[in-house]
Amino acid sequence: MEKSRLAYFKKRLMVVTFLAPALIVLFIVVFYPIIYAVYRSFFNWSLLSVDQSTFIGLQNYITALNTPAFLESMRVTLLYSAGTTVPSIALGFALALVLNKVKKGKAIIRSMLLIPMMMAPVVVGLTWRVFFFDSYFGIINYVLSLVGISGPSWLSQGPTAVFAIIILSIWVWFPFSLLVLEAALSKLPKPPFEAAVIDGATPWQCFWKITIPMLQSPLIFVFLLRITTDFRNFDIVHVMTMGGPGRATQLMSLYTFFQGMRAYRLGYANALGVIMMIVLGIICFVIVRFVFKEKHSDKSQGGGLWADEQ
Amino acid sequence: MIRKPGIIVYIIATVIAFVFLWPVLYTIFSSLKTMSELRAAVPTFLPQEWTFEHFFDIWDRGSWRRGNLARYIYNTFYVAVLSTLLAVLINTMSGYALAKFRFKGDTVILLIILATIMLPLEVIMVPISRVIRFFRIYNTHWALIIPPAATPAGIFLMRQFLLKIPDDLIECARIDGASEWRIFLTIIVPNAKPAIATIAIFSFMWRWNDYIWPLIAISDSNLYTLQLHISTFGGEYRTNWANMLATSTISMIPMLIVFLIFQRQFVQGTVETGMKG
Repeated sequence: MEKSRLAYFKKRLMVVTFLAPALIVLFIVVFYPIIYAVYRSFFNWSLLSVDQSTFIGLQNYITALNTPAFLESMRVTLLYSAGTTVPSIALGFALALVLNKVKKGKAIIRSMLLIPMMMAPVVVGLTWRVFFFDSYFGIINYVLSLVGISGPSWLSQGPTAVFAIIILSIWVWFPFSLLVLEAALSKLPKPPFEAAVIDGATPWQCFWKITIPMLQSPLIFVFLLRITTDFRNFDIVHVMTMGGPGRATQLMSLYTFFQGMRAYRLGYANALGVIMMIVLGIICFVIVRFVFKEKHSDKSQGGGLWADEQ
Repeated sequence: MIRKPGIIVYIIATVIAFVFLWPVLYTIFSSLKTMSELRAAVPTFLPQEWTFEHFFDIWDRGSWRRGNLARYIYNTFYVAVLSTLLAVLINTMSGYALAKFRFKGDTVILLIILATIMLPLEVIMVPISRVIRFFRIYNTHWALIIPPAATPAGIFLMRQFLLKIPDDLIECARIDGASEWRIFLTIIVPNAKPAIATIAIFSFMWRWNDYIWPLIAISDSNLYTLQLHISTFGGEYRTNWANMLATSTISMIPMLIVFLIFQRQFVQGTVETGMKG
């Protein structure tokens, strides 16, 4: 009796010891900052003013919602997220269907696809800025000039700059959807398809009635990971356009960064961060609930849901 | 009944693969071109005249006002290696605890950890920069090593992997009187090697390529990592275009080597947990 209780406590102690390092770091770096950000977002807190800690209630939020620059950044962020997430998944899915048919050399192709993702965002942003979108050196304008079109200077006009960051992000990220969906496709059981073909189903019907429903979980997984990444994207855009020209590509993450880390309006920047979290939460909720009509999927499980089913 | 893949499928696949490889190769080859060739109106893929002048240029301290490239390489290695070691250790430990011990609140802890995968660092950068200052590690490499070490995706990957190790193996060792640490080090760690490799590779890549952490945590240019350093070319890339390309090439080489060796783990890790920077 004594011995087993001792063993029990020893085991308990081990669990705590094993979990502690990671949990302490996560607490300090993630959980505490969130709570602190929410708390401080109700204060007038700026490094540049004497008054550092007046409680001002929702004033920071009201200010944000009345600031054109913020509303603009929200609009750009939504446009950019939708413009990147949806095409990159669609493209990834389409090519996953192609790659799934390839038998030899699949491993090499898969590895190559990962290259954009393993390259440093700084390098990607800068090289694309020079190689592709530069009005003088850029390949895109060179190709356009071959067919007699004088290309725009991509990064110095609002609409083309947004287009440029979207194209670049699709290039970086669609392999992710491709790989995950291809892995899921290759694990699908054959019999339903064979039965459907015998019953005279067209490939198109097979795709919509069998493939899509069976890929529900990986699709949710890909969608959530993609939208959360795009919505908060920072590095590539920061390097490539710095949010410019003007505010044309100033995503919410960049706006928050400039307000908090450059203008030192800390309380205000915290409120911006909280708004970002809320908007992202709503988007994820809507996707899981209404787009996929999944009743019990918990978005927090992310890959978990999917990986458990393998 | 399933149609054989036609030649078209292979052509498409090859084109896709080339589209991805091309920018990397183009960056590397361009860094070996002469300045006049870089400025040429008609771009070529391979250099007409191969030159290493830009590499000598960025290596030579005297001609290069920004500082010492060797120092940035060293900084980046130092941060990436230490952070990776730490990440492997603490992620393996907590993954083991979550996989092999039943205790109150274990699922809650797992869910909370997973929820943070979704959480954008960018959203909480202000409080994080305060936390870093509070612990007096602002403007030190520790701010790049410790905070990003506990990666939710890594913990999750490890847990999933360790679930497959039979409980009997651990139970037998316990009955034989092995201490918990001994079990961890002699049974769990050797069996978890593939998962450890995946975590190590991804962690190294993230720290090597990281931009936002150094941007928030480092202000002294002597402590810059390669990526921060490369980003300083951003403001004046036309004049320093060649140097930017050469430095980028140097920063890509270690990652390419790691990647070529561990391609399989890269694909596996990405597919299984959505591991991403």
